[in-house]
Amino acid sequence: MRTEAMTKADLDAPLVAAARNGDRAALEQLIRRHARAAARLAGRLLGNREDAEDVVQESFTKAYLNLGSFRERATFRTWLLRITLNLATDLLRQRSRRPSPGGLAGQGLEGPPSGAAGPSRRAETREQIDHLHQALCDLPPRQKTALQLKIYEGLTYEEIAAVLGTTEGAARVYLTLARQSLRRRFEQVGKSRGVEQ
Amino acid sequence: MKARHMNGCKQGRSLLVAYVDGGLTAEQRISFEQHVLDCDLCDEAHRFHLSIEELLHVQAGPEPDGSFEDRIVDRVMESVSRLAAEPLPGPGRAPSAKRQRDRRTRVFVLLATAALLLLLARSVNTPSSVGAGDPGVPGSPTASAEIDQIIPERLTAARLTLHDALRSAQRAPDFRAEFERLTHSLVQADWPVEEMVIATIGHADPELAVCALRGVAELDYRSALPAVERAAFRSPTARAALETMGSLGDERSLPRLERSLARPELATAAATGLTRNGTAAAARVLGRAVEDEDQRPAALSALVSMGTAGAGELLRLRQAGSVPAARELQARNLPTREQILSLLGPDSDPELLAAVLPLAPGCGRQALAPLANLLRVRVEAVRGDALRAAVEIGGQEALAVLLSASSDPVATGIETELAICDLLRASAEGVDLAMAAARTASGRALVDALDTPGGSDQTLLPCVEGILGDPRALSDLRARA
Repeated sequence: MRTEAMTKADLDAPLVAAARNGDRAALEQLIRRHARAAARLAGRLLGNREDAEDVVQESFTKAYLNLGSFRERATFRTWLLRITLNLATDLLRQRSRRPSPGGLAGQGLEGPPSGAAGPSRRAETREQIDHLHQALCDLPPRQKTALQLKIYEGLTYEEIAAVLGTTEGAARVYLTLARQSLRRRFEQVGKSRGVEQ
Repeated sequence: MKARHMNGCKQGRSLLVAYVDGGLTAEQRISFEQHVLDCDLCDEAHRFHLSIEELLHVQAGPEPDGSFEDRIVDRVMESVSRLAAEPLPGPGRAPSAKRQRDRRTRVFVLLATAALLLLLARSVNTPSSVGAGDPGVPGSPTASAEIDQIIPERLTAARLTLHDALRSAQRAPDFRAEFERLTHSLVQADWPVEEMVIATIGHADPELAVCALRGVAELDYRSALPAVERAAFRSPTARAALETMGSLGDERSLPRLERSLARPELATAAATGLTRNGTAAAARVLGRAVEDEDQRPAALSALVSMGTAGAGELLRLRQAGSVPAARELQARNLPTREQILSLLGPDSDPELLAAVLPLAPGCGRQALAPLANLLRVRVEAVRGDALRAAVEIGGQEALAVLLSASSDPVATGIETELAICDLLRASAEGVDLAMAAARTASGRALVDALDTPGGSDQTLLPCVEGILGDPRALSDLRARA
């Protein structure tokens, strides 16, 4: 996925230049390339498909209208994801609520990873997923976003730093802290329930 | 799942997370994998991390549906178009870069101080809370300000309006009127329309760039020449650029146009550009091209379309050009009748007039009006040639022209009377012509001319008497006039 992200970054430059000059066909291509990544990010933050689509639409509109200020220090993708992140967070702040665990879970958790697992195994996996999901929700926003960008979008540390508006070192720290938090949650769950591996 | 040793041993701990994230170099990765094979603690921790990764991917949630991209494209295009259609604010003034830097510096210093105090008071592992003063935190004023700049947003909307206007005006019968109608809102809002059109010449979309080039020609934006010259180097816009270069009428473009005539793929466009330039210098460039057999067809076609300057150059080539060129011109009857007539104006160079007047009789009676005008405005250097041309044309109308010229009180000499005589004698029906003239205004003019003292006695009177053959017929002529 990292390779895919790098390849797309190389191909974006001429499209960005064309869109900057008002070429709508170039804008459409950029949308088709990056809309899903923006939707995934917005969806996980907002927990709502409709709001996520609104944010994605507004992100691309803002990006297009502000291409004149895009300095190309980062890729278009990371710049767009940063806009998406800001807009989604603004919307969250307006709504003054955090996405409920049920909300994200209600968006269609996949079934147990192994079709060959028995019922008890599937139940255990679902429970683990629920715990993991709660642990993710409880992460501080920047750690959660860094982890999501790493896991689901395959961004590099440098790209994650560009989206978060921070340094590469700070992005690494966020990821480390996020994983440590998840580990601690599973440790606590394991101790309290006495679940053996 | 439970791992007794989720962090691994001391040695592997520092590399574990980076390994899972793919952040190790190849050498480090190999080293860690070797270590995992030998270390139970790290092996267990590694498998624990991988299981979390697996769960994270499992709970990734659903992907957007298949028509998602289409919806987003439609919604974004609609919102962009709506912005383009709204009444435009003016370009405004961009905030001073220095003011922006100063503001950011102040914010950064404040926040850095606050962060330092926070770190001193709390543990490192405590996650920082979301705060409006944290730089780069989503939704913070600093982050939003970078994205929500007004000026670039307005510029993009204005560009959309301008580009649509350029495209639509191409199809209109009157480009200028249509373009001005469609960009009225931009002008009202003080947008620099001319500069924006010129900037569009360099647009990555060749179709739009060509629209801008044609717009520059129609709107006569002389300052666009440097941009037009650059466009002539790009294949998609080279032809349109050469044509526009000529339209702008700048002599500095002529060498470039002349070089382009020698390239088959650009010759027609270069010739068109020279035609539109329309100056004598451009005509000379085409004249030189006529001497080249490969360039001759395009050059001749351009000279024919060029008006007076082209006609003059064709005339010069016919008289002084190379034999092959002159032959070609004669074979094609160049310059054309229309071009010859256009050269008969009193504003033409006397040398050019002298060269074209011998060709005037070939134009028939159509040449009489310009000849009469030449005689009336007294272009003395070519008066004789004009008279001779009228005589050669012959007929009632030519006689009227000559009689009108003879009545000019300022005209001196007997040149005109001699011409009238020549005309009458040259006509096989000289008597009938004289008698017919008696019943017309020409007849009265003829009688008046006969009665004019001085030269008429020596020239016209004997001539008419000779034609009529009977002195009494002259009285008869006088009676009828």
